[in-house]
Amino acid sequence: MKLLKIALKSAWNRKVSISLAMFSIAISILLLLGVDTIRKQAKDNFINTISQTDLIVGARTSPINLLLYSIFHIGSATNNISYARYEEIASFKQVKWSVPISLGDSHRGFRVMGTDSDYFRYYRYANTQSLQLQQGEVFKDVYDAVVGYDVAQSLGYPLGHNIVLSHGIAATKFSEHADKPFRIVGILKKTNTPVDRTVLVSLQGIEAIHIDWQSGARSALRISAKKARQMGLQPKSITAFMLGVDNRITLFGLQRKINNFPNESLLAIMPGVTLASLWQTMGEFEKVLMAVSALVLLAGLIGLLTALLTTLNERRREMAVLRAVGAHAYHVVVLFALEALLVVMGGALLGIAILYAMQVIMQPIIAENYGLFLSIKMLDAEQIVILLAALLLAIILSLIPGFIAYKRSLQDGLMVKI
Amino acid sequence: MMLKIKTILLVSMMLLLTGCSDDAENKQNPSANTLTKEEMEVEAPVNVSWADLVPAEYRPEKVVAKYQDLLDKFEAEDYSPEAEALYSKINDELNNAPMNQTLNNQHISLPGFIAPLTQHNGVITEFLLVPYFGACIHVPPPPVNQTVFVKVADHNGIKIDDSYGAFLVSGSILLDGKKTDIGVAGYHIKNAVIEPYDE
Repeated sequence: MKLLKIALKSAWNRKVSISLAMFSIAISILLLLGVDTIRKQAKDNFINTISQTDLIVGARTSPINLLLYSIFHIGSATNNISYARYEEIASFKQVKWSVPISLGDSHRGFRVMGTDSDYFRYYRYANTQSLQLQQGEVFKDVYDAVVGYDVAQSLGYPLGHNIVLSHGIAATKFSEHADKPFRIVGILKKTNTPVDRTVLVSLQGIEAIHIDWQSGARSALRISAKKARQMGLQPKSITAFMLGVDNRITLFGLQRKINNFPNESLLAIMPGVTLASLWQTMGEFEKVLMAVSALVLLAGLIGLLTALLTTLNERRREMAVLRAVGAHAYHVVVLFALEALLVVMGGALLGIAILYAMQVIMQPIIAENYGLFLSIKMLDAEQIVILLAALLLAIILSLIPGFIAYKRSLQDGLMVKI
Repeated sequence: MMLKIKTILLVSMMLLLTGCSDDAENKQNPSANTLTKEEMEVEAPVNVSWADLVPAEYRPEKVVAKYQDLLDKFEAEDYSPEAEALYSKINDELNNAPMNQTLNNQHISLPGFIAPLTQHNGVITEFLLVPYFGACIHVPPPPVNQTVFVKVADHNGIKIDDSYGAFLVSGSILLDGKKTDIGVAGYHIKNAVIEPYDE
């Protein structure tokens, strides 16, 4: 206890250099824990976005691309598939349920997804969770829309509010479907998935807003919302669809059958397999990032060692006096270890504090820009191990200046002239 | 001197050969082991190979032989609609190959690759176990009797990052006898214990 007091007082005498060392440790700990937190959260987010879907089918592209645009709304679809083909596959004996997805429009930066009411019945996230309405009901009419939690929150939309969808996925309003406004009939509960940032409408709704866009731009032949409603609105194409099967043993066979479909280039993926291969790729980047952060921490600790070594000369007297008043040789070593421990612990606490502060500040910004939902959690076992390892390393490194000081504290400390 | 080296080589080669055949024999007769179910639970699982999942009396050659006359009409690289139709017909028949009934309820361990189906927070809890993986686009996927649906025992899941590579899956293999529209439901293992497989 006495030693701790001495260590604290001695450190206080050198507060500038000590606090600088502490700050550099704080930054390196922040970096290491930050990278670790982000990678774990990104992974949690990704893998909890879809579950219980056996196959996702879309136009032929890379499996990862199909998964990203159909489920995570990252990037754009390569092509649509015909609705007739969807109906054909959905009627296969093995297929238990299927849900169409039609993408390509947006509302003030939020993606619009056309689907049918089965989406609310069969879409599952975070293992077994299904979509829940916070207010209102599922869309029934052509011009009904259900919005995700974040859409309603950030745009302040109540039930019954009318919204206008725009062509394309940018947040600008050059080409709006202004003549066919949609009415919000339902608001979903928060899911921490991209659904929160999605406007859901019926496939007929998507068809209706594009009915006079067939030439690629708004045609001169205007068709009113009312007229469009009477035109049948049978969807002709969709972007992708999800399906579930009765017996998953046959999944490979069904996947092969869809991939080899004679009249249309289709791609069927098993989301679990594609996520695993995506993570396999990401895992390499993660390792590099973690290695870089670990090296930064090591640099911080070596900085601390340098600081301790440079103080050796100015502390000669201090050590000698301590020895003269009866301190054991090992006390000198312990003093250095204590100082290193103090600096690293202080740095770690500071780093953790900054980490949490940053998470709180960045949470909405990251959600908005990257669709990544940070949930603020306690440090996990792995991160605590990282911290303990840093402390241990600090103590080991502090033994170097400790032993140097111990060796010469008596011989030269009491000399009048240093 | 030369002669001596040659004999040593010969003897060692013979030893190697017998070693191989012993091994192969063991693999071929897993069901020769006649333990009761209770004993199975305690005993180490029987090592089973993928070939054992096909009943001994079932020979894919027979199916192919049945169509040999028709097959002979086509060249190997024939992609005409008729040829394709015939191939897919034969493949369907091979795909609906029967299960090995003697394996039912046996405590086995089977090495294979994992196609994740269900995961919880990054830990895979349900997957399909197949004899090969990744080269699926060149050839049809493994038939139903070469695919095992596995439900992992609690706290024994595989992390999604580690799901590449081969695993050894042990547990009681069950034959879901119910016939569905599309054939037999297939093999599944519940409460499986998973470990990385090394040869």
